[in-house]
Amino acid sequence: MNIMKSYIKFLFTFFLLVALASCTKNFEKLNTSPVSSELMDPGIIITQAQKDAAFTQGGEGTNIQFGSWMQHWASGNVGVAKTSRYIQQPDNSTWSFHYSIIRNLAQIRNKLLLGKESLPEGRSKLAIAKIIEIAVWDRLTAVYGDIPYSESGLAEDKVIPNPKYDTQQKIYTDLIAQLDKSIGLITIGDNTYGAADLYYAGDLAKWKKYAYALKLQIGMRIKKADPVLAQKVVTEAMGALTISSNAETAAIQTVTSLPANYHPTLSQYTAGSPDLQYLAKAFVDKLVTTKDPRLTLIVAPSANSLKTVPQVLVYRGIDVALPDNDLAAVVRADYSLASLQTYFNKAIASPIPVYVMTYADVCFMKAEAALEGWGATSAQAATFYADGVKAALAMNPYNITTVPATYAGELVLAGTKEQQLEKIMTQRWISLFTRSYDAYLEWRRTGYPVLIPGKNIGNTNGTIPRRSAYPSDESILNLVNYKEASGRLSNGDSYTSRMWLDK
Amino acid sequence: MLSLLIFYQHLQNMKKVKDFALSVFGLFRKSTTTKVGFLMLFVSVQCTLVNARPFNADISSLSTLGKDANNPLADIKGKVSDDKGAPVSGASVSIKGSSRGTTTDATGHFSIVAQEKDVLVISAVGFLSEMVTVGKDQEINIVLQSTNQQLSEVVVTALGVKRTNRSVGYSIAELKASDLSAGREANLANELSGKVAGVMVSRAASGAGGSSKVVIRGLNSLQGNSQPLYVVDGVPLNNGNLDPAGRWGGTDYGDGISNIDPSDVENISILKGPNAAALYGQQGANGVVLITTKSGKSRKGLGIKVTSDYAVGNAAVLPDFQDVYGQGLNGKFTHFRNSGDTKIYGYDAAITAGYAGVAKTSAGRDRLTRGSWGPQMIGQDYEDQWGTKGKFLAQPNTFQNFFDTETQATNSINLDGGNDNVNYYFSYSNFNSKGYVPTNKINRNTFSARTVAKILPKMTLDVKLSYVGQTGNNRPTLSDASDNPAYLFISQPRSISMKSLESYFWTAPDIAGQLGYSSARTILGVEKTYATNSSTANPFWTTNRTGNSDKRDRILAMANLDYEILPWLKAAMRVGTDFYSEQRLRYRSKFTYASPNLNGDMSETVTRIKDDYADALLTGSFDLTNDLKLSLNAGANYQKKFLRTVGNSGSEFVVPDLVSIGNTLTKLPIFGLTESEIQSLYGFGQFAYKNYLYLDFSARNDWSSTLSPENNSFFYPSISTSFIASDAFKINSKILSFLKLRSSLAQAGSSGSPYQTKGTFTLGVNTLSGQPMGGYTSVIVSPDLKNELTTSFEAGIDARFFDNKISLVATYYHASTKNQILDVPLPISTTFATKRLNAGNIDNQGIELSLSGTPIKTNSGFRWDVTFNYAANRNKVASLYPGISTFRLGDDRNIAVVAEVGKPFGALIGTNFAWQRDASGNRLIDPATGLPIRSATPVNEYLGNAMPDWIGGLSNSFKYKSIGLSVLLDIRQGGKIFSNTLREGLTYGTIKKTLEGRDGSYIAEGVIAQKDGTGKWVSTGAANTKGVTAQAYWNSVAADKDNVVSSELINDASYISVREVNLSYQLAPKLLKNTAFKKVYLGLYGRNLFYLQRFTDGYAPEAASFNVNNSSLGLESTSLPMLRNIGIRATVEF
Repeated sequence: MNIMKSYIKFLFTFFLLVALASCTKNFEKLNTSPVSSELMDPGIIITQAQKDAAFTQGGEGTNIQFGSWMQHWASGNVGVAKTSRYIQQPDNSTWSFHYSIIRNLAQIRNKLLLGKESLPEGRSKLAIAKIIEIAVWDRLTAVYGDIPYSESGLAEDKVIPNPKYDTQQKIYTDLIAQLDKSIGLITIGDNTYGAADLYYAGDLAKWKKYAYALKLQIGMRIKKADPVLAQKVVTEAMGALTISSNAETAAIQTVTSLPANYHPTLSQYTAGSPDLQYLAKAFVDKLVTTKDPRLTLIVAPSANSLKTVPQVLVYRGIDVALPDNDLAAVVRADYSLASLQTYFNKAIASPIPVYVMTYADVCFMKAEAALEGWGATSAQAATFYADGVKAALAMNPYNITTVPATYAGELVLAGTKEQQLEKIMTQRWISLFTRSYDAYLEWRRTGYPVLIPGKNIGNTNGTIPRRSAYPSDESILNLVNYKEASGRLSNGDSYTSRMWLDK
Repeated sequence: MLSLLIFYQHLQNMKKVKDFALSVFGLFRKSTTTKVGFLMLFVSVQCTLVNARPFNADISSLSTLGKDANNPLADIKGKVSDDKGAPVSGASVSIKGSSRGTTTDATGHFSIVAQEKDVLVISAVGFLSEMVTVGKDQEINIVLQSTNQQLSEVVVTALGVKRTNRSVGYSIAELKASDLSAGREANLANELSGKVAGVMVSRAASGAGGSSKVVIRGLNSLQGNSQPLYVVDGVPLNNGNLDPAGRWGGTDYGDGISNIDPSDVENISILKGPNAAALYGQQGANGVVLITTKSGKSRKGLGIKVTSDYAVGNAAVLPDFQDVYGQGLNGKFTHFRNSGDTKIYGYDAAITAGYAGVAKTSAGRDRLTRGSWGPQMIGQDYEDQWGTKGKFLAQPNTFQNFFDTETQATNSINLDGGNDNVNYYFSYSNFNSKGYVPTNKINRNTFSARTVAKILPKMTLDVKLSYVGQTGNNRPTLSDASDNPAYLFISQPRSISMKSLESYFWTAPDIAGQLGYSSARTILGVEKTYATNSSTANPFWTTNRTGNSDKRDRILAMANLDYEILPWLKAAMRVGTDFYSEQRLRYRSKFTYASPNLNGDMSETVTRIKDDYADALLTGSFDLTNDLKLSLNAGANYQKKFLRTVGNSGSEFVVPDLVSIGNTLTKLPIFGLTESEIQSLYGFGQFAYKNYLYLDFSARNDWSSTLSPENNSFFYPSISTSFIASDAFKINSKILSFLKLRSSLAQAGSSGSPYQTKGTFTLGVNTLSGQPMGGYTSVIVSPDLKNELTTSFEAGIDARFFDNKISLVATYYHASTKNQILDVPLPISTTFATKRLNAGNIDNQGIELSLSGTPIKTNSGFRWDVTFNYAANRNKVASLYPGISTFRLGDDRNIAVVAEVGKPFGALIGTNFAWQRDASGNRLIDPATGLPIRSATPVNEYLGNAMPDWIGGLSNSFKYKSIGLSVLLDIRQGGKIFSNTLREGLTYGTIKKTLEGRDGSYIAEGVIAQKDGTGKWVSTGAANTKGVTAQAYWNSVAADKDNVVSSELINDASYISVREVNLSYQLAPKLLKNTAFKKVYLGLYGRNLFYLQRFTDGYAPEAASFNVNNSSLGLESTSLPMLRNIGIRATVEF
């Protein structure tokens, strides 16, 4: 009887198990990710995008390549810093980093605020997201030339696996149109990102001012390529209310308590390669010869000079792009790091913000516009210029509000138009230290300051590269379009090819 | 179930047995070895009394046999020989109707506990089975008749179903406990190396406690690892490898299979792909390794077996270092300390200026100051980069001075016993390894208990519980990471002594005398390194001031209930779990050079993994006619996988030397959770006609939680046939003893990982100004994802020749995997990195041969067995996804490993520079420099395929009486590997290859080039004669990490390795007469002894990868050496 019972029990359990096997109702719940979400507040995306776009300007990688081309940074190394010695490498990081920012921003327009384009809860937010995106596109195309634009940034169900490269001319035409449209959409009173907006904490009036500064920048960007359009765009921006004080500067405050939120140049010091922390000769010499009051705040005295008795401090930069044998013989202790009081100081009392668009930028651009007579007269250039230098000196970490008498001459703009432009751009070059993309792009379009290339021949026959090379993945994953775009360049996908902006 | 059947038959046959036994009795009455038998019996009774009396007494009350005081159990001894009088070893001797059994030893002897009237069944491969009834005599000699009617051996097939091999319609390979090496491998998977046709084993370069990659019949999946499913006693084992090492470092914490104690293993069945494994549904696509562990044998008293194994290991292959030239550049030093102003100058400038003083070396991060391109080391006075004065001399023993001899000790005890109703098995094993990398230790304790009990006359319960407790300490970092000592040593200047690094932190004199370091890191007490990279290390600091530890507690439990409902209907139910938690701690103490702000960091995680399994199976067998039999099975299966990780990471310690999350400035939580379920229903069956024609069929439907409701149900069928032609056609020739033809067609597939049907946002770990940040996945997921599907066909023959002296197993197979779940890479200009979709069709086809035979077998007891196996797999990527012709499997600096449409999987594509060549392939040499001309920009160049042409093994074993010697050669031919060890050696001039022509006499092979009208280099036809320095030449090959001619860094990965040599000896029984021992075996073994063929530059080709995933295929990355182990082993049975 016992046997019978267990037999029945056994069969019962058996079929229970079989029945269990057809119960798949909880699958949906089981297959929902416990650590990520299908929706997210767009403000969280904005914060990330703002940080990423700003911080990448002053990071070690950007400084090694663009910062040494611009002769802010030196001490090239045969391994990691090949590009600083004009040896061509595909620029994978600029490309993937900026397209990733666009991926996140595109989620706002393609998903999170979709359908709210004309409603107060979406209108201005979408416009701001678009303005940030435009700034990213501007940098991306300016660095490489033609890039995938109209077939990129699409919703994930509409993604084109092999996006074609748009011509730079077409991209800028569209960026200008999109910027104008976005400015028009910003409506005071609409919902904002609030504190998630790291630039302006949701102040829409300031956003409009920033947008016009960006318009000024884009207008200047195309000055060589399309002077007529440039004049139109710049003139329109000159006529609008834009950033007019350091208080309106677009910037992100850093902290020194969390390495992830360090100023990127401080991270270069604390976490980067010790060989890549030296400044370039041209930059240091300029600060020394002009008795720039920022010298000690930018440049540290050489380690060996600190040991001299009596102490004679030496501020000395390394030549950029040195050939192997010269580089091997360098005694680094004879050269200057970035200042251990400011950029390389983890204990700095007032952490340095990461600047996105400063009042000084606007002043220098206005001075340049005035020289051209675009929206201002050439006579106004000197004032704009002096304001720019003063604004640049007053920024953290310099905080120089009284210009020393020895430097007053530098605030005077005189000479031929070319000489004046050189002076404006030289000051801008100094003020753009730690914003290596911007420094490079401004130098490239004007040729000022005049920089003598390093001795290493590299792949450019010893000239400073005119662009970044496309990333290696494009030649594998998007070959046809990559070839077509490279074919449009004067010298193919090389450092020496000149893009539309740079004709 | 089998035992139930035998038991039933036993009762039926009782009467006949009795008659038979009486007649046998008379034959052996005069045996002289009875005394020995009694002695043994006495010892075992002693053991029983001491060790197991209560338990034994307890279970014996359940016994239905052996209680009869008039018919006591006794030790029956005997010898089995063939018709020519030669001993038959390995013959199985069992008692009909019970689970008691044993096998004969090398001399054909056996002993078994039995009682009068028991029927002994003696069977051996190649012989007719014999039955002998036990009589009064306790010594029995049996002569077996060789036969053609064999292949009656039983193999374990899918779901643990035991079948006669002859009835199986697909290739199945079995390894018995005796086939596993006498010398212990730390990871059971390594035991498969070279032993089974079509099974390729490669191991991570991580020493004892590391993972192994097993691939059966080629790689099927583009993503993942293509490894088979391991099933232990019917329950799948989680063979996952959490956070394996990658190309930028990481640590191998060992896979699941490394937790199985080899001494517990009774049998391993290898189901090679879907044909054999379709019943495992989606998990069987890459094949299944079925492991059956030991269970108790019905016997008198307690069986005790103690094994002790001790092995030492040293590097089998070391880098080919040069010891002639030291640190510097252009054959000179780079710097000079002037004795006048004590300042440091560039060397040339100082010499030109006529300064007096000594040469000084400088630190740096690249070959310019750190390379061994300097002067000859002839004892010059110099000052090193830390200001220590000394003689400039070669420091040849970098590896030897740092690394330790590895030791591995394994001790185990196995106990078993039981009667016909209950048997039990218990084992304990301890594995202890002190690693090659100093301070690395692994300790593993395995307990296993199993009991099989007939709880009702027709119901058997089999319960097993294993516990694995494993701790690891300071497991080495692998691949391209500075805390991998092998990575440091390959580029370390040949003139830097380990002594200068042994003092591993900065002292005041070091700081005062240093050259080339940045002030940011030269701080008192901070880790002192010879290189200045941001992520560099001092190996002595790494072993003393950083560390990792891990602790794994694992339970493998299984319960199986068999019930015979009706004589023709049986049911079985099994539940099992593989359940473990793993705690990991990593830290770098304050002042570690590469840590955040030099302040150290740590992380601690606890991961809990649980794989639950339950199945139920109903089996019916029917005789349709006298000749036609049918068995039908139906079952259901449920599996759930669960993984949850929680932990914390912290950076920047406040109080030095306090490794605690609370003591860090920045703390970040770690959390992860994944869950999935698979439910299945299946059925299978077999028609058997006249014991020579078999037709098998199976069908299974899976429901998987990882796919959408529309796609989560999928069906896999299989069909196979086996035809014993030699029986069907009654072939009875001297040449052909046995012939079986088989074929099979099956499908299986996989449903991928959880959470891949919906796109999601993830919050970053940090906030900025109190604001959270986050982003969207870079993977375009697809809600319509379907399961992968592998369709596999195989056909083969099993044949035996010349009275079974030679046996041949040959198989052809073709497997096609469709709809792979792939993360197809997108150009990032789409803004997405990958699109997850069903794409890709991979074909694998190949042949497998296994030839074995016994060339010599003499009456004096000498026997020579040879087994050769061979497998050639041809792989083709038939298609990927419209518009995508290559899929990147993995990459490293200067190389990508891709699957390209129309080509075999695993193509190595150089992604850096290539030589410019003329039409006939000669390198073009620039007449001005004497150097070969490189492509102007990096190019993609095909450099060969990582997959071998064929793999195989040759095993020779010799036996003379109680002495055995076996030698296993493991063979791999063809296939390429990309070496970063070679790259570092060439860039830094540390290896012998860079010695030739240091004085400028190196003549690069190639033809002199000239520029044609268009500025293009063309050949002049004349061979180059211009000499250059070795430095100039090798720098044009590999100037630095990312500036190389990729093709120069490829090695042929072929090898013939003497994988295993085993010498064993069984002590003659007469020596044990007055001891407590029944049997004593002694063994001496060597593993990975040496190569008969190898082409790699300073590393072991089969143990070079940093993990066991497909992404590391064909990549060597400054691997730690594979170890050559030499060990001794003693096994004692009581």
